Amino acid sequence: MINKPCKHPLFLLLFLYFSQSFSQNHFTIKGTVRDQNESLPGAIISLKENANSFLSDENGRFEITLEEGLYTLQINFLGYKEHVEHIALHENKTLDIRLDRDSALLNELIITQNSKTLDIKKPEMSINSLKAEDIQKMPVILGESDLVKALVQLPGVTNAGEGASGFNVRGGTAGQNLILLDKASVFSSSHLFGFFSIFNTDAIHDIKLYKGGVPARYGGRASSVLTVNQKSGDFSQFQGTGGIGVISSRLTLHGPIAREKVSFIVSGRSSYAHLFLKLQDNKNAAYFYDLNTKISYHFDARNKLFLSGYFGRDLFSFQNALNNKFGNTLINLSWEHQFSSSLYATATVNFSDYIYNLTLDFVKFNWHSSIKNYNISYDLSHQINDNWSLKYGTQNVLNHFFPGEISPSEESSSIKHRVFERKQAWENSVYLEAEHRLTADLTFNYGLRFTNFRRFGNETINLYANDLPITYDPSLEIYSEAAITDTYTYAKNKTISNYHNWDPRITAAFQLSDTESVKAGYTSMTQYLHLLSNTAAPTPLDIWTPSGPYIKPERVHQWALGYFKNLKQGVYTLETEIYYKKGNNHIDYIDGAELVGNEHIERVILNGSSRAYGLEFLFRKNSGKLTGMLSYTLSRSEQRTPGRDTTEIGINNGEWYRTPHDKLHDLAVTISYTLSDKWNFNGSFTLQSGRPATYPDSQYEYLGTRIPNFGLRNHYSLPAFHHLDFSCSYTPKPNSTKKWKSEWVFGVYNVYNRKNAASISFKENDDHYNEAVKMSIFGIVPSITYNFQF
Amino acid sequence: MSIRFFSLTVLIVICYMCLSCEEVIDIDLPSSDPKLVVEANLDYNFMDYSQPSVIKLSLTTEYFSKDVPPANGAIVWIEDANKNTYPFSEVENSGFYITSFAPDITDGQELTLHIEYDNEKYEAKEQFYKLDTEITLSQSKTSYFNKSFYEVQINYRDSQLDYENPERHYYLTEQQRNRGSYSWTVQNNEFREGNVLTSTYISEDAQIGDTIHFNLYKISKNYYNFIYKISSSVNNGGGPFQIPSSTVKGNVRNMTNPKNNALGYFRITEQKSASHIIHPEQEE
Repeated sequence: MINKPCKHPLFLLLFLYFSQSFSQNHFTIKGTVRDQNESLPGAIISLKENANSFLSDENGRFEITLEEGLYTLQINFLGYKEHVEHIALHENKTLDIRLDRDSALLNELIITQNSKTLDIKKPEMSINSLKAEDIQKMPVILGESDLVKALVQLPGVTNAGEGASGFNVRGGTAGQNLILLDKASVFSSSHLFGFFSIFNTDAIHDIKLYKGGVPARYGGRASSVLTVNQKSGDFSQFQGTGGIGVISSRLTLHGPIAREKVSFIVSGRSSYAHLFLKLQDNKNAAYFYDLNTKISYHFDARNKLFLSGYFGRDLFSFQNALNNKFGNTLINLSWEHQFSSSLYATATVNFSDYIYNLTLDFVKFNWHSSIKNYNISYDLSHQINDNWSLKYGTQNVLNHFFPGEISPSEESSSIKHRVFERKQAWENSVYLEAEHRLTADLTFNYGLRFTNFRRFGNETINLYANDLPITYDPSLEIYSEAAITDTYTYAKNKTISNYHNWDPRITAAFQLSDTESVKAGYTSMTQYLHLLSNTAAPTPLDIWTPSGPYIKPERVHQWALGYFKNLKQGVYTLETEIYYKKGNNHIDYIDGAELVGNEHIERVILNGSSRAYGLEFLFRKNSGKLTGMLSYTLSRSEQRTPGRDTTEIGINNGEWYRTPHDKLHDLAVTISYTLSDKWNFNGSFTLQSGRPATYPDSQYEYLGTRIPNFGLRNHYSLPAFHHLDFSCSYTPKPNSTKKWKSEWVFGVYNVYNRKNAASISFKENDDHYNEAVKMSIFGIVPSITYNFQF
Repeated sequence: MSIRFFSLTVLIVICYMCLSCEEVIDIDLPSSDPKLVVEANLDYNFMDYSQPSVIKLSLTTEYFSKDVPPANGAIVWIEDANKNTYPFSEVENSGFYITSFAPDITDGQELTLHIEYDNEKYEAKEQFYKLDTEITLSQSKTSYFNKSFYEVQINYRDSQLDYENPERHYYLTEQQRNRGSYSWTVQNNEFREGNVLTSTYISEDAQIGDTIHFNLYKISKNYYNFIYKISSSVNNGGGPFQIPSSTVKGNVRNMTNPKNNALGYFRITEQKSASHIIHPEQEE
């Protein structure tokens, strides 16, 4: 499955005739910026001679082409000492720049900071990156910094509300986000039903979210890509960080195993066992924990090996009546090899597993389900010449679906043991991506991804009359599950369904001036794995299922256009984008669909289409004592499921309706102010349209109960959602020379105690009258956390 | 009751137990034209023929309205396969239409309900399923969250009969404490084919000496789906986990204006009943 790396694969030749070079007295400086442990993406390389500046890419690499001459390069990265390099350029040069930590600057638990100055030249758009430190600065609920909560501050990213799992990017569903933790794909990103994300910020090095303009090297999901990279341990010195909070505590240890050669990091986090529960009753427990680990091995300058792992679980138990356990396990092995200064390769093998176990004693059953995937990939990064670089490779994922097993929890149970049909599928992709500078002002990133998805036996597939798993009664306008007329068993490895798709991607950046550019892009994404979720927000029970004979792959096309500007040498940045997305084969559910414990899921699914469009605006102040960001999104996200033919009514009468996470307006303001070495203040304000809701337009009585009769789906909106949060951190001895450093973080979420509506429900009260009941989750929530570093 | 129902309930309980708060609010709701609502429960109790058959007709009304208006002056009758008709007559403008002469019924037989109301003709067809099982009741006491509850369980063996669609059987149980209001649940025999099925009454208020009354019905798949959707409309307050709700469509067609079907359902069932008086029990 692994391609042998070759410097000039044949297919590259097709592209080569496009390439052109600049005049002969130009030379190229190539370099890598790194510290003791890892490469530093987003370091600023300033050229003193012409006041131009560049950023290092995600691997810490940069490349500058200049006329022959003498130059001075200044390399800066926050938290590190400035590095100056004098160059006499009369031939192509390769630099390996190592930055040293600036201990005087490292007075907080800041490990790294990305420069947020925009790289306006790069044909990269609809992308937001955050450093662990950015996330840690945002004031959050219950004193626990959180990646997903930081993401939803960005334009184009929302979630279904407080306490809702997952996140939504540009109108896509939570199941359409490709989440990669060190290249291994994560199936569920939430702990405790969305109150926390599974990512421990102490163990995170950096994250990057592709809302659009997704390069061809990523695929498999239809909406967005979130890459989360774990930290490497320090190669020279043993260190630790940790924190004690009201909800959870965490501890991270890292250091060398062999100095300058091998390092490790272990980061653990656990909430307290009786979270949210009354303390006196010790039979109950509700908690989560997770463990991040990584071993980094630098063989030599050309070879690096990384082995990382993640293990996290949520556990709930009540009176032995209920036991619930779910979570992710990830293992990733990557080998980075440098063939030459222009060719890098990464070989990756990884494994991801998501399990869900439930024992309900009062119904006397055990439930177990899981999804696993195994991935082998080989990615090459190839610098052809000054204006051309290529990325190409192959990714091969084997998916195993275990939709469920139900068994009696005790002898007296009347439940019969049953194992649902297992499903398996290969998803094999090859891609080629080129970054191509056509003129000094115009740069393209274009690429193509080809994917073959093959679902194969051993599996028994149901057959239905006319191949329709859902029947429709036109006189009653009701969809219902069709009877299974027969079954067909596919033998081991026999192909059940085979799909292949070409996904073209292109982004162009045109530089208007030294400080501003316009970018435009088109992305096509195909998704073969479907997250079945019929609730407004995903739950841990939500089930993944592969495309197959009855469920077609979902395909989403996105067009985006943006304007980017750096003001005052990058002190301020402005990013605006508009986008339009449309998708087909979007899954929708018939009324009353049961998804959990349903072995024949095709009997409740209808295919529809989706569309989303919006305007995003992000203004940031990046440096100085006061930094901050203002983000605003105006957007719409809708879906439509018409009938399969003209006699059918479809869902919601076949009309477009808003998705559960549609929010017309979304404004977020975040401000951070450094008063002194000791005090740092943060504030954030969020104002959003309420999420869509379905209201009853009448009521009636049936079986002695008042029944609300609901009108058009998601036609109304809950009241506006807004809250103001504050936090401040206090470092008692910022200039202490001792190894032990500490800080206190005080936070208040929802300062003015806004009772935001999580839902409005309609029910009959004890006096048999109807009422509307607003449920809100978080009022004002103060918190305190003690962080330390040694 | 389905696994889904249990699981989601559990999630909601865990998730919001101590964090959430609820408050009754004023809200402007849309309104719509009144529709006919049919509650036609032709429940045969072969142990007790004394009860007349009752069909209740009412109208939809504004959501916050305190009263539910009856549908008066309708012409209502049931027709069997041999074209015999069985008329129902209204009791004093109450919207309740009764007859003492319900048709004889055998397993698998279909009946048609006819309604003429407000110059529109309605029709509903439904099939009868015989309930060939015996009921037993049992009592236990458990505690959840430091409160102890009496639980009364109705147990019945899943039908061994095969009908046209042999794969599933569907049941409705009704529970009532001391002649108070009924609560109801539906379940099917999935994962328990041929085994004993149970449905549990549990309430904080239940005390020693209380009578818990159960009714059990075997129902059609259509009616099961209908009640399942009715239940999710009623239990709609699930916060972020709520399932989209829409008008619950029953089996009463409008023959005059097909765009204006009636709400509600025409069911034909066999009813079996049993009562239990809560007795003292040793603490665990």
